[in-house]
Amino acid sequence: MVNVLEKYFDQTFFVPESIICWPNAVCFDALIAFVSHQQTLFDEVIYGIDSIAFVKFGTSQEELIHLLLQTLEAFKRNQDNSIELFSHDIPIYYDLNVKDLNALAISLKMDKEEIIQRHEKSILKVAMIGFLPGFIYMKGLDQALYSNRKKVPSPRIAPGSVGIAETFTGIYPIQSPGGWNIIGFCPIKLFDVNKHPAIHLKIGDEVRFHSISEKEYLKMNAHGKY
Amino acid sequence: MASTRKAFLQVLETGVYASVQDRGRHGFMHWGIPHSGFMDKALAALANELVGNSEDLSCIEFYKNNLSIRFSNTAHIAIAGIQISFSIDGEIYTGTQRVQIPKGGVLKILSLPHHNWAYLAILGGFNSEQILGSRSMMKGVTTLDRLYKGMTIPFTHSNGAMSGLTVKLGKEKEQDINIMPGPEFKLLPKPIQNKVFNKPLMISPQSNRQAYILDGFDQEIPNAQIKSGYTPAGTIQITPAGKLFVLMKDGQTTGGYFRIGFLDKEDLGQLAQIPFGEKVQFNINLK
Repeated sequence: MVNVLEKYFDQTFFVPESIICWPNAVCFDALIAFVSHQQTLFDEVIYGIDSIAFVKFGTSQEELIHLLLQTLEAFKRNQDNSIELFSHDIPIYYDLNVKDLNALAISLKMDKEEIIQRHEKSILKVAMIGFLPGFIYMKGLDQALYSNRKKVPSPRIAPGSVGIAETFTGIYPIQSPGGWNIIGFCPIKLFDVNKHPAIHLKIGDEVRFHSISEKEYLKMNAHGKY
Repeated sequence: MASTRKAFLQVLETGVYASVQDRGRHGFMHWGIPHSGFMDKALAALANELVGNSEDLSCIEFYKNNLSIRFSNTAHIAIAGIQISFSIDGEIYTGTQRVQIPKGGVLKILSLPHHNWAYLAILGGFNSEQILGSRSMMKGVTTLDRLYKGMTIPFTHSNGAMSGLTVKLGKEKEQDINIMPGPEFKLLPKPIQNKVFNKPLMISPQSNRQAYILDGFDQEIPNAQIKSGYTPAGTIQITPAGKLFVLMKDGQTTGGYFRIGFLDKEDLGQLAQIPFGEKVQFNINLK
């Protein structure tokens, strides 16, 4: 039993009613994508950057292991079949006048236009949703765009703002303080608790941004005036 | 007994912080949505029980005193809080009890000396906005993240009389909480492992429903960061600057600080009620 867990995970850690797993590099992307598109046996599944936590309320450690093994068994069976790739095309208005883009151009020693081009060409993957309800972390950023967070966070970032920080691209669902370097604005509400489901993007899905003009942005903007 | 006439309450004063809460919303942590819900589940259950509600119906949860509310119609309510005192149209009541508010009556919370959170329950619950199966107010999820002065909340009007009922609650004095180590506890330098717990820490007045900040450690731990991962309510984290905090019901679902301990679910309600400015001791078995 333990051997099965070792096959998939570098490490596991038990917390009451939950187990935190660090899937190994071989299965990481496939396992995450499988679990996020599955009705799972768990009450909560929480995705981290390099970990995944499974929660079942009111269960013992033994039951948790049992459910996890069932999940891994289903994953193994699924691996033999062809895996459907989920991909999303998201509009973005890259605003050349945004302050953070100027600062990035200086720190990355790169033209603003090149930053935008490299970002638009990046094939991103939804890594996790956290920090705020509906705040999407995407990995797969062009390495030349890796950057630090702002030293002093902005007190007010507009909803729909798209930022980059470290190795990630993130989208702010609501107005919030934050330290990501804002490079553009997404006019559509990707996360809306009044819709079912509140978000169509799932962990592991592919995301590509496509550039739209300011005019198109204003026409499509669903976040309201800011 | 219930009629469909539109009954509502109006918030006259909010005090420091008040919100509608219920058992919370579960199953959405992968969207970054914390469970939210009652900070002290047992006390809220008592308030609901006093008016004959099921234990997880929505209540107004409030911090300390000064919440003031006018009811448009007769209302059967319960107030639960340790040594709480309140007034209805100027008449003073002390202790946890159910009571009937007359049409147009004004409730005012006068004092909550020994605890942080207390509850107002109403027969039938509050008919406030429900999102993803819960009325618990939460920033980024519900339209309002707390009660605001002047706002109204509908409730189900009931006729008929309800007798008063008072419950005696003892003041809990236990301020020691046993915890278990988190996944990054063993990554702390050994000397820090030995002194971060098992001694009193002060709950900072900066604390809130997201996190209780603990003062009294503050020793830098360079590079104490991880790749963001699961942080349920009850997670004890430490920042590289050495700031300790416990994530509470509205806490972030994921985080990048070391998770050095976890509180049991049952103990979270106990911690929630230790007054800001007082001390708590987390005990860990280091074997």
